Amino acid sequence: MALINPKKKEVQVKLVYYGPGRGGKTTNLEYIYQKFQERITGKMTTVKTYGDRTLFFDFLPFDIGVIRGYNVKIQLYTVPGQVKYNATRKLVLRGVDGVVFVADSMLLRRKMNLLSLKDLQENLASFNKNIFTMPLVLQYNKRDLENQGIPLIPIETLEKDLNSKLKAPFFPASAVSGDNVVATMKKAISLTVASLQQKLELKG
Amino acid sequence: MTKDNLKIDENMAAEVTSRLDEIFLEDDPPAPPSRRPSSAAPLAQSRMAAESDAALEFSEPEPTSKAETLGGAADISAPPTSQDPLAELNTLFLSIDWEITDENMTALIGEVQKLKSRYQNNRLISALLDILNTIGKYVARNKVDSIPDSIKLLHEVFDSLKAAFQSPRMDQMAQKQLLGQHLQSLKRIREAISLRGGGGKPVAAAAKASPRAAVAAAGRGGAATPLSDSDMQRLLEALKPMVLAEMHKLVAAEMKRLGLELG
Repeated sequence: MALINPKKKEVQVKLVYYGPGRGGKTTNLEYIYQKFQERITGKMTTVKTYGDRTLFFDFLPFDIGVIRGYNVKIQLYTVPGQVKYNATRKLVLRGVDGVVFVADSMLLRRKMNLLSLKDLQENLASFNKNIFTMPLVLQYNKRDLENQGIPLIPIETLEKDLNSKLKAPFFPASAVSGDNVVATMKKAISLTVASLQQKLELKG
Repeated sequence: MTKDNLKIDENMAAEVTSRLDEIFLEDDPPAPPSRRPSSAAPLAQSRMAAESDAALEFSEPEPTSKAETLGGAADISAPPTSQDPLAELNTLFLSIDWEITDENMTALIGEVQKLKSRYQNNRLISALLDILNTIGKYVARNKVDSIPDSIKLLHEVFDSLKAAFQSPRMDQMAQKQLLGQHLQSLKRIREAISLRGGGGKPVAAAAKASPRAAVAAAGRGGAATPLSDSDMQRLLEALKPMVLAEMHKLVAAEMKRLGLELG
């Protein structure tokens, strides 16, 4: 649940970019940060520590201004893709409000996408969250590689593999060139805010 | 917490979208999503319907002969260019991106050694493979405890290896720079390992015999400790002759060219 502070009139929305290692999660955030850093107040940070408590993630906070009297703050996170950092992934997922799943379109990464999505489901479950009700957007990244003759997974196959049951909105994208990076993020934020609103109505 | 506290009404989502459009206005309008639910409610409903499936399978195809491979495994595992000598290594690097297991690392080190014996006459490739071998074995031993920069270096050296294969006539200066950069990174990792504190007795013992032995022993199984400061120093010493040889060759070539120019 989003962090809501009625006294400070502030809402913090936590959005996590999830997916297999080297799939483009950080590149998504870097693109957003580099392209819009003049318009957003936050600063992108990469957190690294060592040992058993390994943390290894990127963090990009920004305000979208006052809406209905509340200052809405968005926090974008990435998680490390490698399996070995599962503890970190779980930690970063704590308190998540919405997820962008960044799938790698390269043919060689098909299985990794599946494993990572299952991993997301399991880690959300550990926080009593359900992947089917969590605001979720899928991004099929690296579509630009097709121009370089690199074999890619067709969108239809990605849909079948990853989205046949989730039925989430999805975007073919290229984080390197920025194609659909912002559209993915905007969709994820919109869904998350709508979901938050629904929850509050149910509670009220 | 009640909605009275927050006072979010149904227009809030629309306002958020509008605000996002203002902040993130791009030069080129993005393509619309391939499936855009009109609101969160239908999305939630469709998901909840699907939720009745107790086991989430994501339509994963049935495994074939090899354990845990996908239905299209033949396509997936087939390297795009079978003539590429680095195809197998490339696949192994993609595997360790996902998970650093004993199996993956053993296969990776095995492939590195195979390439090493095949390209032993190529100084640059041979030196890069030596670095891969050393760092690979360090990562194999320490896995989750590896210094993150060591994994980064592993990938960087592999990128250089690919570049070396793609540009077999890379000039001497570029080769020298490439190796120099990686040796510097290796040195920094050594320092980081040193700060963490570590032993590495098997390597030290081997290093007494010869620097080459140190390189080989650096990753020999059984040693659960990272390389010590002195071991890494010996390792760098072992690689130095290769770099020096390249530099000598470069200077000799330059002198020869100068001699010809002067008549």
